Amino acid sequence: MRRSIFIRYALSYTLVLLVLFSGISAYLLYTSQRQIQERMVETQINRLTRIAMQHESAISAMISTAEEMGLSPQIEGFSYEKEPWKAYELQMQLVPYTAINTFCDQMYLTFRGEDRMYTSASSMTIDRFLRMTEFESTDPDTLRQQLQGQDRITVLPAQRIRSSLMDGTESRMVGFILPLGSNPGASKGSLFFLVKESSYRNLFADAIDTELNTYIFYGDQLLTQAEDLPLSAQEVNWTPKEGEYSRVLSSQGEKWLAVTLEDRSWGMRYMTALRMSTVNAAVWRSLSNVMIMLGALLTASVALILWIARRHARPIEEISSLLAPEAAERKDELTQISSGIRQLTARNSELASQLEQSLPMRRRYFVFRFIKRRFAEEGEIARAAAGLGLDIDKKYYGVILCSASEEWDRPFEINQEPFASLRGGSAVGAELVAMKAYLFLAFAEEPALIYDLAERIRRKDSGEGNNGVTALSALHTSYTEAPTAYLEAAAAYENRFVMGRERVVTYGDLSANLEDVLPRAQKITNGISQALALNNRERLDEQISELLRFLKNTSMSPFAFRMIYNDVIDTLTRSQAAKLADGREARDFYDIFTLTSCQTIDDLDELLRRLCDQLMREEAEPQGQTPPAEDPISQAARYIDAHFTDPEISMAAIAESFDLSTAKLSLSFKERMGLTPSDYLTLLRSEKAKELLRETELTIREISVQVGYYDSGSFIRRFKQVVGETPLQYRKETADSSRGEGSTAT
Amino acid sequence: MKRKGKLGALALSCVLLLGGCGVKQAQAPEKTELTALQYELENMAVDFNDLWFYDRIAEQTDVEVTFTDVKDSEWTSALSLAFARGNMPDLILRGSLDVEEYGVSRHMLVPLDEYMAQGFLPNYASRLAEGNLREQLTASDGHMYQLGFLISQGVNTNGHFFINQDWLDALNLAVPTTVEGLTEALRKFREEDPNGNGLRDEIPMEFTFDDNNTGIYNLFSFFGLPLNEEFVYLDQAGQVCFAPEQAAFAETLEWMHQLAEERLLDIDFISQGSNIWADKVNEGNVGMFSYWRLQNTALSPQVISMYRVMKPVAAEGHRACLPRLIDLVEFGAALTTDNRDIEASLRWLDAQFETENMLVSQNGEVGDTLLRQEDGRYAVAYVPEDNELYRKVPVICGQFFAPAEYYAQVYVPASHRQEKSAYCALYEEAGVLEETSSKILTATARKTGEEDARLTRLQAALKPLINGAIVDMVTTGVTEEKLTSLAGKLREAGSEEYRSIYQQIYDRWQAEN
Repeated sequence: MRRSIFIRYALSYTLVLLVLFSGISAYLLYTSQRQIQERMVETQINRLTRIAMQHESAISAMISTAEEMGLSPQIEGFSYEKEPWKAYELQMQLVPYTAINTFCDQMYLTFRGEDRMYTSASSMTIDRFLRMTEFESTDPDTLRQQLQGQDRITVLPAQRIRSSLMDGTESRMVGFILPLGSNPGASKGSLFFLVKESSYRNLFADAIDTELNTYIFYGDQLLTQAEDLPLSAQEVNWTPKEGEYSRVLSSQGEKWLAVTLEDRSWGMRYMTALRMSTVNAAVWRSLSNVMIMLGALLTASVALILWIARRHARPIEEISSLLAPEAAERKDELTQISSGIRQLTARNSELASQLEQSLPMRRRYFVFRFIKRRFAEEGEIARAAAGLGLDIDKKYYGVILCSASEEWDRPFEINQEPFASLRGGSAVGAELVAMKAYLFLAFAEEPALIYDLAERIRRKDSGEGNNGVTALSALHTSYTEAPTAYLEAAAAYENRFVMGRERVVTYGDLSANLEDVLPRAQKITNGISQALALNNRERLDEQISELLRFLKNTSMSPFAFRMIYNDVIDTLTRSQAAKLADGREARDFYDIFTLTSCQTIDDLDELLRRLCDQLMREEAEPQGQTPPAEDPISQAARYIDAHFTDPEISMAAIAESFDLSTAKLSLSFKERMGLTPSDYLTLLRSEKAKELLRETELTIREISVQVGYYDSGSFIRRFKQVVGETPLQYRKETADSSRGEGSTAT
Repeated sequence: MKRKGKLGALALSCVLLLGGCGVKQAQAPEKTELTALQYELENMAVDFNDLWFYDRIAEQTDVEVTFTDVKDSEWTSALSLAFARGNMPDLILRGSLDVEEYGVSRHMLVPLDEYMAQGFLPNYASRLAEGNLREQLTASDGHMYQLGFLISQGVNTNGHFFINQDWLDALNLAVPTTVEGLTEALRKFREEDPNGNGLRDEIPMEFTFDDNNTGIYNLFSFFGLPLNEEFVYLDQAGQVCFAPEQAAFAETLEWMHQLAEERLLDIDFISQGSNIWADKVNEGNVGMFSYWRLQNTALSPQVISMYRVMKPVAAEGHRACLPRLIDLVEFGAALTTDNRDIEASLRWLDAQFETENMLVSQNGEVGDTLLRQEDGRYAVAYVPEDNELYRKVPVICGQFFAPAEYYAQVYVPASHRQEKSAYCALYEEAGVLEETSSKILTATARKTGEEDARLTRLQAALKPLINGAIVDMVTTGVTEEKLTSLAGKLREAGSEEYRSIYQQIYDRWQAEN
């Protein structure tokens, strides 16, 4: 499935962002929970501290009152029975104390040993007080003892008290019995404070969150509580360790956060408890804002990332579609780009290699075609030359042959010396591997320039420490004379041993004796033409034999023989041209280089006879009867047979020349021949290459050029496809095989 | 069918939508919201915001009041704070309010007389004409800054004397009519074991100290001295008298000392409060006492049945004279100058003065605790126990303005109130009350702020001297020296100034009326 670069970018960035935000969120969650719980604990401690301060301030006020009364000379114990009027005076003294102790609801004074209690507005016996007042959990006798003579502070935890002294209503109250005076053991009596639990409610009333319980313990006793939650004091009462202020407790299947504050001076312990769910709710409330902000930030970031990803992806997508438009549906952009770049690199390398190699090859090919006179007309020669960067439209041209030198680096670089000195002219060259020589065509307006070039080549060749020879043909003006020019140069080159290396060997130096022979040979040539024209085999043999005898009896150089043979062949081919169908020429049946490779007269005889046989076979077809039209596939096959060494041969051109589409040609060819034209071409080239590999020592590169490839890489690949092994492996195998056979014979 | 259902739902939605719009448009005007500082008794444990009665008034007036309840003990400081901090409520309800200070001097109260002249407060204004009510409510600058609270039931005195009829019967004694007769009866109560338990545990007289309800102040009436907590009264000549300086004061103390000496008077009166007093009386072992009435009080029904009312006895050469109560208008309500909607406030207040609302506020819901009789008058059906009424209606902390004549026309008092009325009628008929109530001096006659402050200071100085002297002389005996010393101390404490200020106030009042 195709994943666009945009999606990959977007997913990657978003993933990073999500990881980042997840980390932040997790951190916030963790720290917020701790911080909020700590803050709530701190808040509760502050609250408990304030409650403790207020509570202890109230207790202090009560204790101060008791101490002051104990020290006051106006407040002295007396016998009510004996001095009842003192009760009035006492009450007058109690009024201001009652007024300042607003925390307590009731204040009763008793003198040591006296059975009477006084308030600022009333007095009664302790018996009457206990009768009129019902304490839920304090025993009346115990209370009597505590009221009548204790020198220590007694705290009565909150309990229900019903008293007709207090409108007969029932209230929950906390009691404090304090000794009168600050001297323990010598108190005047007791001061009994009753504090309504509602006063404690006022202390606790500041709780913003009503969902909490507040407790005050006196020692292990619960003094009072404000209970909003179903959690009893027993369940929440725990003794904190040193420095411990809070604890999470479990009760009734719920978790509770209990916070405690201990006051050592009065032995009070203040505690509050709230549900952990409340804490958690606070955490979420706090976090929700942050999360909303983070969410908004995340959304904005994702949007920004998508925008950035889009911006980043767009040029990549464009590059991708440029590099591999057809692959866009199957591969992602980066793969496409990678693949495209690899293809481009390979192609570029191939093209560079081709460019590097093809121009010399093409020039070489041009040289061979020029020499072989394979161009149909002069215009074609000029166009081909122009396509190769050669300006051959000059008045004169000549063929230069020089010995190949390994030390002459890149001898066919026509832009370098010595060719650069060919002012207004141009030169192009090719290596004649079999002759171990370089062949140059030189075109110029002035003969001197060509001679000068030849001289420069000679010097160059000699100057490299080479014992090479440079030969120059006669200068020609017509392109049709190219084979002759070659032969002239070759003849001159072959006479290098006679002529020496001090100067350029020219055809003119050895052409003199040829002029006498040619007219006599011409007669025999005409006889051969006539025999061919008459299709008379016997006469033909006779004429050829006569020519052979003439040549054998005439003392001539091999060059002369070849020139005569070339002339004979030229005459024959021109005279027989009309007989040949489809514009073919007699020269198609013979190669100028074959002629130069003939070393004996017998070789020339065989060559001439083969040519004549060929012409005779062509002529053997019934006269006046049009030969059956050859089908395009056969023609194409023959064309490939003839041109498979041409690197420029193309199926498209073949198909077009036979008015067929490439596909049609391919299909029909395969139907007829059992393989495609390309495979046929490759097969031919491979067979030829095998021959060269077996029979020559040409390099792989040289063979590849000779069998029609621009570069050795293509040749090697194709060869391996057909043969199943590389050219080198093939050569090695065949060489080994030959050695094996040889040794067997031995 | 389904399609019909969908259409029906659509139609219903449209109707509801349109109906919703209609309802919104047809809604009654939004209720006016006001705040009030509400006085409540110390032992009231109710939230006025929860009272059914105020929901009823809100429905009638479209005025919703949010109450801040303030206990009696915190009332003065709460008021001071509210005025001082400037966060005044719209309304101040019941309790007490210094109208001269906050209305006349500081202009922090809304003058209501102008609104009444414009026709606001029709229920309330219609009852103002009776007696001197308007005068009582008019401030020194001539404006009325407050609405009064008045339950006029023809009460003319505070405490009535009750004697143990069972003991009288047991000892075959008639109800005493003189101090001597009373003293003799008390001796018999003490000596002759009227409760029949074989012990001399009877308490012939049980009193508290310095008030006119259960306190010994009432005993001074036997010697013709209407002693009240302000220690001043008016003689027949219209002169303000300072009670401790009167001869009857010393005579009474001598008699009381005699009672104390003979243990005929429980000496605990010096220091005991009303709760202890009630506890003792409820023991059924007391011969005589004074009290507001018997029924529906702190006394148990069994004890009540033992007693009968007794006219004040008169010492030889004296006419019994108890302080006379007059209808005193208490503070009912005031509007602060921060009030956000005066007209709505007056509408809400006046609705409470509508007869049925007013009686409901005092006695509970019609058909439950309150009945409407065929003659159109309202009567109490029963009195719920444990102050249950306070959970529905404000009772005496609400707005009430019922002059005697009007009240009699609309209300049949409960039996305990009828009882009180009967006692008052008896005492009136017996001629044992002041001719001119000292309340005119202490409550009705308008005082200047300076006079008021000075009187308060002087009273604070005089009262301990007087009460101390009473304690001393009742317990240790009356001597000329003590009396001379007391007189000197009182003069030093400003008794003459105290009296003369009251005289000045009374003279002014007389001139104005």
